[in-house]
Amino acid sequence: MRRKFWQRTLLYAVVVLWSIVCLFPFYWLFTTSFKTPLAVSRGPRYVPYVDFQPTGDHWRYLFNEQGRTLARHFRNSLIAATGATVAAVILGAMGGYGLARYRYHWRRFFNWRNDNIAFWIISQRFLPPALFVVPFLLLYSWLNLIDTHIGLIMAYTMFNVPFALWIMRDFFMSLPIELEESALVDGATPWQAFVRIVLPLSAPGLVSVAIFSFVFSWNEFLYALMLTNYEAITLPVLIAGQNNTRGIQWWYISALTLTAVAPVVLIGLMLERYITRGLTAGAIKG
Amino acid sequence: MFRRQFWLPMLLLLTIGALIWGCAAPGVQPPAVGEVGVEAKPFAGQKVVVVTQTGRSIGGPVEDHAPEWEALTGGSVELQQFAFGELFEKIITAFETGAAAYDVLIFPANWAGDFMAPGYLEPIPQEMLDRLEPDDIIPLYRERITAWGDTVYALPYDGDAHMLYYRKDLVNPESPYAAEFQERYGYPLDKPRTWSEYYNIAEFFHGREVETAGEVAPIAGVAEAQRRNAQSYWVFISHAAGYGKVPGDPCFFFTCDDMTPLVNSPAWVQALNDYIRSRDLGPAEQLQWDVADTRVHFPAGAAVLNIDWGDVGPISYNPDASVIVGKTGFGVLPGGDRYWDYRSGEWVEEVNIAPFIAFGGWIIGVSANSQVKEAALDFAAFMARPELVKQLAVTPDTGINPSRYSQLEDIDLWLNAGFDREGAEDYLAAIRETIAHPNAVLDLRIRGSAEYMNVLDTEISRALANEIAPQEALDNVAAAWQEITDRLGREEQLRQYRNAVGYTE
Amino acid sequence: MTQPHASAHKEEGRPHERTIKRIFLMPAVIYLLLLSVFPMLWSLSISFTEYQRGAMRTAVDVGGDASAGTPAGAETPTGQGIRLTLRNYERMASDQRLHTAALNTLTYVIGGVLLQYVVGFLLALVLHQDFWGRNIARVIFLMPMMVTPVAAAYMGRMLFDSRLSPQAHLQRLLSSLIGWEISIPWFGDGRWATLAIILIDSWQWIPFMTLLLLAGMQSIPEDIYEAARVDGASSFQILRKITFPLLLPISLTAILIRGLEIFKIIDIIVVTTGGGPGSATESLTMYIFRTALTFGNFSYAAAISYALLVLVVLFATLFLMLGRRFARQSIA
Repeated sequence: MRRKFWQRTLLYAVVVLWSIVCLFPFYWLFTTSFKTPLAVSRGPRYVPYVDFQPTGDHWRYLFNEQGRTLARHFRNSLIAATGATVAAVILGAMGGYGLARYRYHWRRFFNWRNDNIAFWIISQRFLPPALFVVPFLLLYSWLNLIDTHIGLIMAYTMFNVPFALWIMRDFFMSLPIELEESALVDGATPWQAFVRIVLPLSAPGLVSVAIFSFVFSWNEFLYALMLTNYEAITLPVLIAGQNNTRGIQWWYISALTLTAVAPVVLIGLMLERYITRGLTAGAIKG
Repeated sequence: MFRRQFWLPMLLLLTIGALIWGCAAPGVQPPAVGEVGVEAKPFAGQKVVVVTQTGRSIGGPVEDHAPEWEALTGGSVELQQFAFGELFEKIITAFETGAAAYDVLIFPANWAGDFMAPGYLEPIPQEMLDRLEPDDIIPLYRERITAWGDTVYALPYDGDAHMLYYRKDLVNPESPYAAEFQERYGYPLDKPRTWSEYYNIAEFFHGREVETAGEVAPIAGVAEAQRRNAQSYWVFISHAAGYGKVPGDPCFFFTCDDMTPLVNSPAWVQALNDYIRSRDLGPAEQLQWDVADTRVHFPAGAAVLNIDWGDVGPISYNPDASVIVGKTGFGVLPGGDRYWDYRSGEWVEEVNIAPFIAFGGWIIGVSANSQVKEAALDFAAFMARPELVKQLAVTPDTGINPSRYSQLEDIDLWLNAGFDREGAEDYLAAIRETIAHPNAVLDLRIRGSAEYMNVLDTEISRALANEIAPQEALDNVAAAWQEITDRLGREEQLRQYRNAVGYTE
Repeated sequence: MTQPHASAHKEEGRPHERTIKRIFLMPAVIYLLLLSVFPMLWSLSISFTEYQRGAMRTAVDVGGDASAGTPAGAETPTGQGIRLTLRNYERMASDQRLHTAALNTLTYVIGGVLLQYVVGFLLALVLHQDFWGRNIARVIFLMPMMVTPVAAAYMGRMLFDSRLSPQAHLQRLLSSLIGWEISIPWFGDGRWATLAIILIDSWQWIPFMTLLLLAGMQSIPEDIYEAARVDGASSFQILRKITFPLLLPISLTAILIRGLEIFKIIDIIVVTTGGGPGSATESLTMYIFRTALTFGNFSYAAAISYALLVLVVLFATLFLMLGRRFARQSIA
């Protein structure tokens, strides 16, 4: 029993320690967003009212003077991430289902079969984005897609689809096939079977794919920086831009960062169980 | 169960989104245009997009004063800001892809070669320039930095030159440290005139426990921006100017005969050695500081000496950000104790003051493919109008520094802004002397200057990090500069450089 | 990586069947082809030319949008005519800055993956236990992953600051306690800065490793453990002989995904060090970005991108080969 006690203690020690590692940066952001500039530049101050006098000025500035700018970026992020998520989930679920349930054999194309196709698709996720910097600019300016929501959604869909498809494929493979078969016997078309039977059963997988897509798109920086100028520009560009010559305004950045991060963190936290369940079901058998 | 779990956060997200969206709605829609107002308000319904760097500095005045223009003209102004390190890329890419994304650009004058030469900017009508009280603008800022060839492409807004800041309360002949300093170095402790005096002071104070605003703490000798991909190369060039600028010869970065880079001459190597010394006499993290950081830390009492643009003046008098109000001294950049004559190939033993008009200032241009050119020009002129610019220069945090005679002469302007008389006189004298100096060095202003400077930036940063020796670093720069010049066309680059420095054979 | 799928609906070949299966897969495939093939071919072809800034303007105009006037700088010898050249590839061999960037990138990949895997595995083990507060812990451990990388980088910059951060305070306290000076110049020194960047990336992505490994652990059937325990195996033996080998496939996938992601690192570096001090932290992606957009040297940027692509493919292949061999040995 002694041993058990020590094991428990160790376990909790690790949990507590790592929780601090995870949470402290958020705490620091939170307190910094209430500090006056001098409270920041004169060395670390930890607890409001104890070693510094909090001020709500930065939050007021963010939501009043900067409200328009913030709202524009926020709205664009929301549109781009939502659009790319919807597109990725649809394309990913369909493609994943195809690869999970049918046999493909592209005789005219390297003789590829399902696994080759799947591998090719996932490899798209890992192409260096630098490869696309200039050609995308060129392509987009031909198509008049620069600085549009649709352009950003297209780019994000491109790197979300592989991941979505990969996870969904494994998820579908873990579902028993009998249900669909009985539906087919009852006269449903394969499409109906997919929409009415398979998709509802796949909710955890779909949710986890949606969360991942949303988070990736919400947080994406490089494409957003390149492909947008004004109309469609997103939050990460706004945050990255705070590196200005007037002194890094930690207090303001902290407030801004918390605002930008809050929605995704909240979604992630509330749907956490689906992330794990969606992944456990299939993807991870390796 | 599932449904509730899923919809709750979605609903939350949508609510937050809608709320923020709602806040923005008034700004998104063009202001309502009354039937009556149409004639009185020439730009009703037109949207002008302004691009500049992030933050209150430079962009702040647009935020503050755009509503007045909107009320006056019926147009609307939207401000787009990027980090300084990305601003050039964003603007040039927008130009190149032909997207008429930005109408008004507030940008550093030394990008003129890349923006004005290819015709991306709209020429400014003469009558508009006449309205800006042109005689009041210091000729340097009026003529040199806003034009390309004979055409004016931008409106002057800001004036910028590097200057010296120091802790007046510590560095003066009556300071408690004066005796010890005199004993150690054999001359009185006072405002440094040359780099060797500068480093004596830095060395003397570095690490010393000094009282600042009631707290006794170790202070650093210098605070200089040394962060890569920021402003460090300007600070470095400020070091190099005194050693490398030959009095009476305008050519400094290149020879005016054939564009041979001078950047690896003994003068520049000496400057880089100095700059490396600054690293050791500065705060521990100085290598990662840009002016953003030094402008926080110097006024917070972190160092004795500082090199920066005019901005530090008003900041040092801002009690919210500064613990050294009234304790800052201002001066022209220190000179070289000797200078290198590249033609004869030897050192000339003579003190050589050569202030560096680093950067040259932010200027306002209008995009040539703007859809609302008239409105854009009007707004640019609105922002550059004399009354506004004068006021902005004395306001802390605007980033706007004096560019007009009236700003330098009207001391009440500065007293009202919180300066004490002595400080204001010092500050203005330092600026006047810097920009009127016959031996001043102008920033590099030719096509590709961003690339030339990026190479310099990278190599000096490597030398600062002890990756390579100073000579080797600057040799690399020279080689790369040659390559860039060849790539862009040597003849044309030479022509542009001669033009830029005013060289005549 | 994944074994061929279990079963298919029907034999292929019937016309209706063929249509339906195309409807499922083709949208995704066509979409990816459309968006990736043009950029890849275009990059490849310009990497053999000398395509500079200014040429893009021409290309855009040809493409239809000729709204602006002719650039006055057209007299410069850029973008006129197309000459094939290997110069870009030759230049790569002698470009020191590129080599440093490649080396830095490799450091990030190897350091980051190792750290994230080890810590991620440990945390997955912890979360796999049954304890009070486990659900809360799981939620907390996941939080960093949701943060925008640029925001995480700013957090890092604040927390690694040598004057204003709590850890600097801690260092000072420690120094005065033990009497000798500890002062880590986090972003002021190349090696420390590299470490700081790896730490920031890891803070953010350890949850990803944990998540995948935890899911893997949960899919190991309980009876295997039971049997081992009945045979009298210690917890450590169980970990070494059962958990670890059974998790190898998913570990490989997780490591591969993270490795390939770190190859693309740019945002954290832009915000924290800008590539400095010196060139100690510049990554390949960042260098390519600079080359293309600051210097306007598009063809060279394309050439480097291709080199990076080759590097990535090599890394992935090598990793999978070694990984499989290792997996076979450790199971045997």
